[in-house]
Amino acid sequence: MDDEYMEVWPGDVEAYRRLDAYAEMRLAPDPAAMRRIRAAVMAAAATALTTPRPADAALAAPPATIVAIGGAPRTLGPRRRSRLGTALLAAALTLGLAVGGVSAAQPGGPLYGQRLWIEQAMLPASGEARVDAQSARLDERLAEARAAADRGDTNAIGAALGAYASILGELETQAIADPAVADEIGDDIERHLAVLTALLGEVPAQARGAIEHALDRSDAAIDHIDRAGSGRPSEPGAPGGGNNGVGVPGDPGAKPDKTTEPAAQPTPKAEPKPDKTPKPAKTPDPAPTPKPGRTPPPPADPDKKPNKTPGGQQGES
Amino acid sequence: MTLDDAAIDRLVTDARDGDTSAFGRLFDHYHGPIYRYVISRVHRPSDAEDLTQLVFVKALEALPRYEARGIPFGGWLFRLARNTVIDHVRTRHEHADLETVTHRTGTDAGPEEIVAVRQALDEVATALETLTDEQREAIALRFFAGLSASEAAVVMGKQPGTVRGLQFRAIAAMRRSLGIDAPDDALTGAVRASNEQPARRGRAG
Repeated sequence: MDDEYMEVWPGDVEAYRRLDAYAEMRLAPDPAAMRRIRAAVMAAAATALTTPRPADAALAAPPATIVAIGGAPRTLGPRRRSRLGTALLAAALTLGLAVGGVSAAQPGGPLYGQRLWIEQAMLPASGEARVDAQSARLDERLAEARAAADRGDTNAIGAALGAYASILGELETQAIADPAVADEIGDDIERHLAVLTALLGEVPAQARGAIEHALDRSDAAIDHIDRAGSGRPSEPGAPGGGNNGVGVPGDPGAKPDKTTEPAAQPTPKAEPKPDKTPKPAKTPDPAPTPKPGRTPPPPADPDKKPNKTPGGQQGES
Repeated sequence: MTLDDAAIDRLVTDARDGDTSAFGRLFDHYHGPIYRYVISRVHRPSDAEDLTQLVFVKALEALPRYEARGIPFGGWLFRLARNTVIDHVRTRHEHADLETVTHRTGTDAGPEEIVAVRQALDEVATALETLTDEQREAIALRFFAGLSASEAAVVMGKQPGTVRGLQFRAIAAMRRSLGIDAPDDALTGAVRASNEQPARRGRAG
């Protein structure tokens, strides 16, 4: 093309040399990563390139017959075929990506969204299995956030906790609708609160916002679930009643039969509530933590200016 | 692995005809330059790896539409890479620091040498940060991806002369940042039409 040999200045040659060194030392791909990428790309190529192209198919007189996923064979016109080919290709590529890199996509990476989407798509349709799977996903997001915090990767922390909040939203909706789910995930969320609170003290200042948001979100979820669980106005007396031992008067009014017969049943139901009362008691935990998160920066600003000497030095020099 | 333009065209044709090994050879030829270009733009190795994969997957998907465009395959592929990077940067709103770029030093180097090399590389990274976005892109395409000025021009949607001008100004700015002395007359005068770097091309794979 334009490989003309041009005169270069000695200074240019030195700059070129340094750029070359920089490219070699800092920008060279990791061979293992490239092998993995190649495998994924070739898997996608095997599917994509061996699929008959619409243009080729259009030359054939009879309309192509394809087998719909989970359906009977049907015939399609050229345009429809082309669209379907694209859809199949997209599906194949998605599969290829899923096999290759998506499953390894890290939070904040370009394929992370696809990974979450695939996870979401593969969840059981409903019921306990779905709740369990979502709960496991929450744990996984939290683990990712923790790993990202270890790496000091602020962006990944934000991405993982963003996904965490999104999953929590779905679980919260389910928990509000179903007390059994509420019981199941209540403890999980409290555990997450503890982890997040601990994490808050370990991450750089830029990542605290994401963690505080996740803490707020978890707090709100617990509140909403509690409120939905104790939706009946008589219930709020229960914690107090439980504590004071005066709660008994509330019961006879509503469930006199159950108090006698399955006396054990109402009590376990009442027991979780005291368990959940500590949640307000736990609110002090998150409450003080944001403060340290927010307070350090203002006093730190004047103090840290000397620390930010790199910038300051540049300005001075 | 070096391939001339004709060989690349043949591989592209074969790949379009369903020859996966041909696409594999194209991958082998281009993945290094593509990765170097991508990581020079996004800085984070994990992102660069994901994006490199995405570029080739997009290329697979778009391969049937390639022929009609009449652009050299390399330029077309780098355009895909550029758009992928732009999309990524746009949606991410945040860049990793240059410090997150992989730090590699010579395997046989002693500690002092390693420190010296790291420092020199950091200086280059800092100098690159002082460039305008277009200058940086020109440098990334020309030096890190190994494209010719014409190929880089195709990718950037500019004239080759414009790319040479960007490169010239970028190198001049880097020389200043790095404290590399240049002849007085080198810094005067308009943009040289001639700062084409020989042997930039073919640094594939």
